[in-house]
Amino acid sequence: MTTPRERMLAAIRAGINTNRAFLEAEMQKAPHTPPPHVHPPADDLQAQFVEEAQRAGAFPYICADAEAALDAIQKILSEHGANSALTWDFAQIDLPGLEALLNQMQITRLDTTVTVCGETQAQRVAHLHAIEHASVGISGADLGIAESGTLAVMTGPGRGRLTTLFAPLHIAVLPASRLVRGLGAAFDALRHQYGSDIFAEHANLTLITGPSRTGDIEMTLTTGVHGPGELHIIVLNEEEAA
Amino acid sequence: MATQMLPFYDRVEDALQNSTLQHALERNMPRFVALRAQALNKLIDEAALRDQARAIRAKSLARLDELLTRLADTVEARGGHVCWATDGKAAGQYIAELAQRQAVKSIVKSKSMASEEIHLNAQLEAHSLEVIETDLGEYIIQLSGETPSHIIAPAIHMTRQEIGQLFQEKLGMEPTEDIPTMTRTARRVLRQRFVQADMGISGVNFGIAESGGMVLVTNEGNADLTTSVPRIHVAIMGIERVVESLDDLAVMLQVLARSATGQKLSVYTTFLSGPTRPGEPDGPEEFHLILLDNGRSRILGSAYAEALMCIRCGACLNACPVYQSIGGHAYGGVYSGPIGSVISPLLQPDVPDVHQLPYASTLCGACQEACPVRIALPDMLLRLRGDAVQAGKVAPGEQAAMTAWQATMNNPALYRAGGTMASIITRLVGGREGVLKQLPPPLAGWTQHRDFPTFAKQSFSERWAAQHGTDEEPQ
Ligand code: SF4
Repeated sequence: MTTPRERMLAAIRAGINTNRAFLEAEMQKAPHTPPPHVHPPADDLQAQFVEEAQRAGAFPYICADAEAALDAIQKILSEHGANSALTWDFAQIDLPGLEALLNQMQITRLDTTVTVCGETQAQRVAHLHAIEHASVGISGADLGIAESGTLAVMTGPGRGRLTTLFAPLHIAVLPASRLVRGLGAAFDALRHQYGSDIFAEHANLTLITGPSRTGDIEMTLTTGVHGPGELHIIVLNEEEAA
Repeated sequence: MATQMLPFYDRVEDALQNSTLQHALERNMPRFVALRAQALNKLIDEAALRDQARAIRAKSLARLDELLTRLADTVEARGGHVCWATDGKAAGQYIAELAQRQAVKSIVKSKSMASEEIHLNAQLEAHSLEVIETDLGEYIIQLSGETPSHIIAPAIHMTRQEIGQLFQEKLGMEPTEDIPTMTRTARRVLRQRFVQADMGISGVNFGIAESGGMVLVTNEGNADLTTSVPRIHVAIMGIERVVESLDDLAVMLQVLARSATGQKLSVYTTFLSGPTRPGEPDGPEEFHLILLDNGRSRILGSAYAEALMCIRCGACLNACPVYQSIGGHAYGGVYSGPIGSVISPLLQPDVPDVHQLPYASTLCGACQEACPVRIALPDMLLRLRGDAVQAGKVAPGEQAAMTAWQATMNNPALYRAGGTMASIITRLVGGREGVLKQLPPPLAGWTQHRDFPTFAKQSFSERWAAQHGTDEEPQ
C-alpha cells in the first residue's frame, strides 16, 4: 500500500529522471541570487519612495517629528470624518501620542481580535460585524521599499491583518530609517530582523503597493474594491530635523 | 472529416463575429502590451533578470520532489495540513469532506487557475456547498454564468453596460454606467459574503519550500480577505509552483507583476505560513494545502517539461496576434493563448477538439519573446501539431498546411522572410478588417477551416523597438 504522497513523489521522480540533463543545464545557466534592487540606484531613497508610492496611488507624507506626523494624521482623520478605528497595539506603532490623539478626536478604538480559541462561527461573525464599519485602519510598517513604493508589513500579536485591510482608509506609520532600495534588500532586512526563517514566529507578511485596485471593468482603474481605497503613508524622518 | 463543424472553429467564428469582444480586445490588448514593455524597459538588466527567473524555475523542476517534500513538511510543522492530490477529483473530494466535517455553510474563493482547471466549484456545488468568487472579474462572470476569458482579466470581453445590466438584475443595483458605483456595489455585497464565510479557498502563486510560505498576488486584496477572514483557509497549488527560497522568490516577483500588468509589484503580495499563531488577533484557525498533480508529473517527464516553468503572468496571451483577434473563450478551456494551447492538450488529452489548439498560432514568436522565463512556446506548439497528426487527431488539410509551416520554421531566415511576406499578403488580401478568409497556397489548407487573423503591421520586435526609450509610465 502506498500513500498518495509516495505515489505522487514517485511519478515526479520518474519525470525528473527523464529530463534531468535538460533541467539541470537550464538551472545552471544563470545565478539564482536576487539583485538587491533592479532599477538604477536613486540618490535620495526617501524621494524615490515618495515618488513611487504616489505613482502606485498612495499618499505619502514626510514628517520631521512626531508632532508633524500627528498633525498629518489628524487632518486625514477629520477630512474623512473618521469615528472608529482599527489599530495595532499602540506600542507596535512607532508614534508616541497617537492614542491621545484618537481619544481627543473621540475616535472609538475597535477590538480587532476575531480569533478566540474555542469560539463558534456565530461568535466569529459577530466579532467581524462589530468591526465592519470601522472608518480607518492605523498600523505601523516594517519596511518601505523605495523603488516600488511598497510597504512591508509583518503581522503578529498586537499587529492584526485586518487593520491594514478591512477599513476603506489605511494610515501606516513608517520611520524613514526603515527605507530600503529594492525587494532583494527588503528580504535581507527582514531576515536580519526576524531570523533566517522569517516565518518561524509570524504567519503573515504583506507587501502593500498602493491602494486596493481593480481594472476588471473595461480595464478602468478603480480603487477600494476590497481593501482600502486610500492608503496614506506617514514617513517619520526625525533625523532630518536634528 | 467535417472539421468546420467542430466546436473550436465555431468558437473562433463566434469570437470574430462578436463586436463587443472585438471592441474590448482592440481597446485593451495594446495597453497590456505597452504597459509590460514600459515596465521591463526600466530595469537595469532585463535580460539578466529573465535568465535568472528561467534558471530558478528550472531548479524548481529539477528538484521538484525534494522541494515539495520540504514544503509539505514545513507546512505540517507549522500546524497546517497537506493533501497530495493526484487529480482534480481527489482535490475536490478532500475539500468537500473537510467542509462537511467542519459543517461549512459558505465558501469564499479568490481567483485560482488550478481550481478552474479541476472544476472545483462544480464539484463543491454537487455537495450542496455554495462557492462565491471574490475577484471582481471572476465574480462578474460567475454572476453571468460564463468562464474567464483571460488569465488576469477574466471579464475583459464584457462592456460596462453589460456589467451594469447584470448587477441591476442580480444585485438590485440602481441603473448606472458608472464603474466606481458598480465597484462599490460589488464591495458591499462581497464584504458580507466574507464576513459570513467559514471557509476561504485560494490559489497559490508560489510556495516557498524553505519556510512553508504561500505567496498570493492580487491587486484587489480579495485573496487577503479570503485567507484571513474565514476560520478555515484552503490553498490549492499546482505542484510546479514551488520555489526553494525567499531569494528565488525575490527574483520571480520582480518579473511577475511587470510581465502581467506592468506594475512593479502587484498591490498585495501576501505571504502565509500555516494557520494563525498563538496570540495573533486574526487569521485562519485551520490551514490546508492541496498539492495538485493532475497530469503535471506526466508533463514533467514529457518533451514539454518546460511548459511547467510558466508563472501564469499572461504576457504571452497579450502578445499573441491570434489571442488579440479571438480572445480567450474561443480556446474553450481554462487556459488560453499560447500557453493554453500548449498545456490544455497535455493536461486534458481526452477533450476532443483540444488538439486543434496548437494550430491557433501563427508561430510568429511574439509569445516566447514576451515570456519572462522564455518558454519555447512556438517550438512546443509545432511539436504538439506533429504529435496530433501522428495520433490521427487532426484533418489532412491541416496536416499539409502544417508541413508548409514547419518547412519555413526549420529555416529561421526563410521563416522571417515568410513572416514578412505573409504580413504583406494578409494586409493586401484581408477582406473584413483584420481578418483574412483565404491564404494563398501553400497555406490555403490552413485557412480552409478558419479565418486567418492579419499579422500586426509591426512585428512584436518592431513594436518593442518603437516603444523602447519612451518615458511614459504605466498607470
Ligand atoms: S508561458 Fe510565459 S508568458 Fe505565458 S503565462 Fe506562462 S510565464 Fe507568462
